[in-house]
Amino acid sequence: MKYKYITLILVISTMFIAACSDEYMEKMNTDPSKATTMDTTAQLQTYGNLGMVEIYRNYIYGFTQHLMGSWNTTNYGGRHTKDNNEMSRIWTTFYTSSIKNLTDGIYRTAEDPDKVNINSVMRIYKVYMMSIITDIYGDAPYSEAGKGYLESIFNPVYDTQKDIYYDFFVELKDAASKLDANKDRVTGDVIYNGNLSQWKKLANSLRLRYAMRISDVEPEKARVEFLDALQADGGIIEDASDDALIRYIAISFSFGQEAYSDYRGNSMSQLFFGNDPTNNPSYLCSTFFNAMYDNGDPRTFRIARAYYDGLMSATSPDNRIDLTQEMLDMGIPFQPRDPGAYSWEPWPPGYDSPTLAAMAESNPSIASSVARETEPKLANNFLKGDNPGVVMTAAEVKFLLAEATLKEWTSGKGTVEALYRQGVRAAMDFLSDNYGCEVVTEQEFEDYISANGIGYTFDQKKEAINTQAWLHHFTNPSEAWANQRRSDYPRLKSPAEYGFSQFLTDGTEIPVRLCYPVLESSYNSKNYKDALSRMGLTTEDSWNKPVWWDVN
Amino acid sequence: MGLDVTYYTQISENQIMSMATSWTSGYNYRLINAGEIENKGIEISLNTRPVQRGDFSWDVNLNFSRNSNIVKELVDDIDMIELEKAAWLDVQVAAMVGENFGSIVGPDFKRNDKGQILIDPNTGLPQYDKSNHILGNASWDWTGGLGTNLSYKNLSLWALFDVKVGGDLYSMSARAAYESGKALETLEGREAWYKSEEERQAAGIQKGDNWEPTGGFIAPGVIDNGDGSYRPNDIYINPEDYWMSVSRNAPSMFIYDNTYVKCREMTLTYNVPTARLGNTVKGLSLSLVARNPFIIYKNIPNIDPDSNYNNTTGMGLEYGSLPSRRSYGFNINVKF
Repeated sequence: MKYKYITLILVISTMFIAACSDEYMEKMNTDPSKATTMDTTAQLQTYGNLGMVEIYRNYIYGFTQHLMGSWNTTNYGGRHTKDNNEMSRIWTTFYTSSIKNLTDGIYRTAEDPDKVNINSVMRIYKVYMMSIITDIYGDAPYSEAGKGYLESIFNPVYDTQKDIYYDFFVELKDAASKLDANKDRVTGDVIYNGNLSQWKKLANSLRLRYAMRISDVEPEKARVEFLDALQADGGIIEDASDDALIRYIAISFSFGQEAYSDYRGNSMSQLFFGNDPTNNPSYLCSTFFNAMYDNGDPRTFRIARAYYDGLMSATSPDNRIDLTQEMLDMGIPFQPRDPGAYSWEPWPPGYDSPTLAAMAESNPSIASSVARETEPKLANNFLKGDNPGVVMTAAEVKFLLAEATLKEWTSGKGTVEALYRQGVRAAMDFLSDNYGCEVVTEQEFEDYISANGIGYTFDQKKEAINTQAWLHHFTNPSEAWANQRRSDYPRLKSPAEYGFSQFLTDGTEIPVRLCYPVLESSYNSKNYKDALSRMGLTTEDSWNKPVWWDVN
Repeated sequence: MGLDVTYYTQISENQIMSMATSWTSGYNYRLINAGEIENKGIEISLNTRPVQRGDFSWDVNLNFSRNSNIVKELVDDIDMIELEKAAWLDVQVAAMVGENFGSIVGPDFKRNDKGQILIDPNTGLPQYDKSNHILGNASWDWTGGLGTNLSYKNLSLWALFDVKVGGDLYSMSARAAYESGKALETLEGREAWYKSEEERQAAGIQKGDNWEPTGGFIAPGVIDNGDGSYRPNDIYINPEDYWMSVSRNAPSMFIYDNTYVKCREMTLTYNVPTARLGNTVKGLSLSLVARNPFIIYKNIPNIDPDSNYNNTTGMGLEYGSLPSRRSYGFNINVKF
């Protein structure tokens, strides 16, 4: 009997003593091995791992018609194949790595007067990253994005592109004004190495870019913002030494899992090289090649080469045999791929190469009769791990100024013709300064520019400026696509007009945006549906609905 | 004779789950206390001895079970939890609110009101709707087993059968076979297409829009006439294009009802009579055992119905899994 009471008392008291409190549970649920804050300078690290750039090879370069022929570019971009997984790569990678870290870094340094520089630089960079997202997808989460941890916002609203762009101008102006050379040093900066005056120039120049972007949909706002940026303190990028380029290092290419979190080397170069380089390299599209070749552009064979790849290494562009000069000497026509064509379909007429025949005598594995080798590919200069990532260049600024002068927004920077010439010259120097291409001589430049003047009418001039910008932007694909859609130059014809309409499974019109990831309809359904309805759609997304600034 | 019936119903609330989240929040997953999941079912087990005559007896054990695991509610306005995915094909296995665990979700053909597949008149290929559709469910409608033992004097024969009905399986092995043209069904239309292509080349016409094929494969479906009526598809295409397009975009073509009946084990045992044994050995039995000897019925073509992709809660996918093994053996059981 006694024991029964004692046991009862013991049991009841144990229950009270061991009772769990919320505090206890919280402590238990917190993992001591994980950090909740990190060094903000590390959060500035610019992003460009392999997952983020694949969209360029698969879709964007096909839409801008710079590249065509490799399986990826032709299948997705060239033949208009909607693949939800491939289209969503920038959305899924940018938000979860760049936007999250930048938002977090900005938040943590917002109240600290000694961290005003890193805060401002991050704000500028976040605007740039978001501009890529909104230019590709349209309306997108911006003000509430990346705040899952900070504010528990898991279903961010899709801000309208108009609101996003309006905020860009405010952010860039404010962030640039706060940069102070007397405050903290910005370390870990792979663009400008902490040089704040250059960041100011970049912020102002980005405003020029975005102002021109909205010049069709809101011409007055565009003009006002453009001039405001032009007159802003700090100036704009006027010289190539101020170009905003992400510095990468030369690493060897790998397509394994580790490449998807490796930010050290230029992933775009790796993508150009390709995961099956002997069979699936980056071939040029006829639109791009002919725009250079037919106009006697000295850049033609600095960018495009004809290679025999039978002996090429699988991990680096060594041992390619350059047949370009031989083809030129023998008068063999180049066979760049029309939009929608694969490198093997239609099969090009080949020729017998004497160079290869001579080599075949000592190396029987070489075939001297070549066919696809007549299709121009990207020169080796563009396949290096230490090629820069292009954010903004002086050449682009010259083209923006030329167009602004044409629109009579400003006259203080020179005539339209002079700015156009400077832009083309800067674009040519850009290749030799950063990609090791041979310098374009004065004579070559003069010959080219006199045959490729700016034209006489407003439309001809606008076409000339923006076509040159398109040629220059071939290493900045998101800007190439955005500017081509905005200015409508160069005029690109759908692959249907090249005879491929029976293969265009998702529409004959060249797409003007990419679709949102389908899973957003489950993860963030209300906001996803709102965004679709703003485009006039109900359940299914469409890539033929132009974004807000794309008014034709 | 024995009968065992169990009915159970259980509601789990606030389970800790890792739930896939919109990337725009900056994160792929978050740990949440998930809404309400109801698990209920019935299990019946019956043991009988229908025949007992002298030295001969026959035992039969039957069991039957039926289970449903339904998500009643999740958080916020999310309507599904992703359990598993084959991202490269846009297919997920998910727990959707109101459905049994294990819905196979993915894109499907674009269909008209009558459910007929719409064909694009420009390309001759089917059109697709990439938004999420429920294409099947990996949960079993019911499962059961039969164990039977026949014994006569010292010899006994034991067999065990397994029945599983109603689960769906997305066979990516089948998908790969069709995409690469190895499945027999992809032969249809090939001869006619090659003949048509030869005629085109003989006429000197390049591939493109100027040639009307004289034979080939006609994709099943209808074409919209534009005025609300539909006509059956009559456009000849290369069967390779059809199968590649369908493999990449329409998982429903390769989702099969994976009902099957298998014999799991058969054992023939001989108990050596105690009279024959000495004093040290108290019992000796010898048996021949066969495991997985044969499949009595299966619906899914070419592969073992037990195949799967993973061993998480997200069943319903299969890709190139090895078949299960059949084994034969001999057992000696000695008692001291």
